[in-house]
Amino acid sequence: MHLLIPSARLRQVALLAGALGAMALARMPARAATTPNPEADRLAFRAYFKQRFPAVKNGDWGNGPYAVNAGMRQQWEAIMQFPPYDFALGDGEKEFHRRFADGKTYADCFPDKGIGIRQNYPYFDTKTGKVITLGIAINRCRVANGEKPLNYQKGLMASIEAYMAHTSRGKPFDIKIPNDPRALAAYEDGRKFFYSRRGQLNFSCASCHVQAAGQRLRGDILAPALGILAAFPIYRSDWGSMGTIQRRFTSCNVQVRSVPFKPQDKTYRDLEYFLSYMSNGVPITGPGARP
Amino acid sequence: MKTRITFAALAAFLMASPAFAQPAAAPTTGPAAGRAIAFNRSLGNCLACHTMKGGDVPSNVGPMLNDMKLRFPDRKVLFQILWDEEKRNPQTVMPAFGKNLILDRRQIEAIIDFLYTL
Amino acid sequence: MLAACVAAMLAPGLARAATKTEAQAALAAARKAEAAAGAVRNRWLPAEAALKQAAQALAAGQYDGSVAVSERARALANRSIQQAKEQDGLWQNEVIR
Repeated sequence: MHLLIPSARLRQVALLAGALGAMALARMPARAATTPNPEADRLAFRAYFKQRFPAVKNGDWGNGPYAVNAGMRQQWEAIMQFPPYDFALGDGEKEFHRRFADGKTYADCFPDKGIGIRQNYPYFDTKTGKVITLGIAINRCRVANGEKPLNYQKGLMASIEAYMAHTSRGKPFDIKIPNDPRALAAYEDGRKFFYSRRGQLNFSCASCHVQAAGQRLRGDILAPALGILAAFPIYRSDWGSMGTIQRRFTSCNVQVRSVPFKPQDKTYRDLEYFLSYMSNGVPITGPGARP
Repeated sequence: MKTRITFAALAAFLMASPAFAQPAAAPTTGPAAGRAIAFNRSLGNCLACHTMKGGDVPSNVGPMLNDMKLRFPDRKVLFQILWDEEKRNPQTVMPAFGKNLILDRRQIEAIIDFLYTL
Repeated sequence: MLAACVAAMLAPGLARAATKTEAQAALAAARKAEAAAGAVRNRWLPAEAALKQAAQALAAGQYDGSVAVSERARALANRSIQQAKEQDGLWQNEVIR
């Protein structure tokens, strides 16, 4: 270093500056992409997982860890002889067709009488400017017909969702982002949350479900983010009961040692919106079963 | 002066309350202490993501931990990875054990002592 | 700093005991920091646990312990606030493009 004559050192500096400049330029498109472009995001998301797991077929993304691990798939197929969500599914079907005091049923609250529509949730409501999840829609229906709202995380809510998902199996996610800046803002809010690290463990959703997708965390296989919501609600052995998407968000946050938001908090709804949009084209598989 | 009081008090208080499993309550230094911290689920919990000798799990989120002295001859590099790996690798899945106050310096040094036996 | 800590560890009896007022002040400061973490929507569970622990110690008259745990709670809260601020920009590093 001491022997460098000034011109040589200058040349080095120039080279370094040039390299840095090239790097900055190379990064420019990514950095400059501040205008949200959900469809470009979705294609990149899909391409990423297809490249990571080339053997997984489109219909299988909703089977999470079982799609990417042959050993676990065998165990799962054995479990599915008597699916642990069957009780909930039966309860949900019964409740769905029960008449409220005013003589109406859930079917009266939904398009197509609520059958085969799970793939359209959540949607952006341009009237209220909010993301409406299936859970919110179910409770709205109840309240409008003089019933008490249900707990958003488990119990009867999960059962009703299980039935509605079951009638929608095989239908690909079809989430719309209307031409409304508030819808785009909600999408972007969910996207930011998905990629932001939280909690004392410093994990983002992406840490486990993108970076470490398909890898083993002790005995468990981490599910890829693509199609991850298609299986909900799920019977989770770890819970010993059924749970909704909102329950899973809550428990994920607790696992990274972060204080969770309330179920159906705006951020959780936005996250569900983003994540479901990323899975557009992936068929519904819910209700599901997980370790 | 204030630091002195509180550090001693924290150590004494936490050692006296086993229900409150905190970093300062763990054993002190050396490979054996480091192993205990590394395998403790509320402290290092290294086995959640790494496979290593003596840990009977198939975890593979992080790399296998072997030949550590050969692979990381510079102790400082290993310390930084345990302290705040996001700084070096923005996409890492390694928790920021030091930066986020999961473990203190002494505990991280003890873990490194243990890692160097692998 | 390290020497001071070691000295303090070896001779905790020499350290001046905290008063109730000091313990209350430490807890109030920790709660304020945790409220600020809440304002950026990024509270941590260990900070909440430490706050609870500090309040229990205060109620039990263990002022030294209470001050110590309050300070830990405050450090955790401040770190969570810092994390939220950092992630405002760093999240872009994880985006699939």
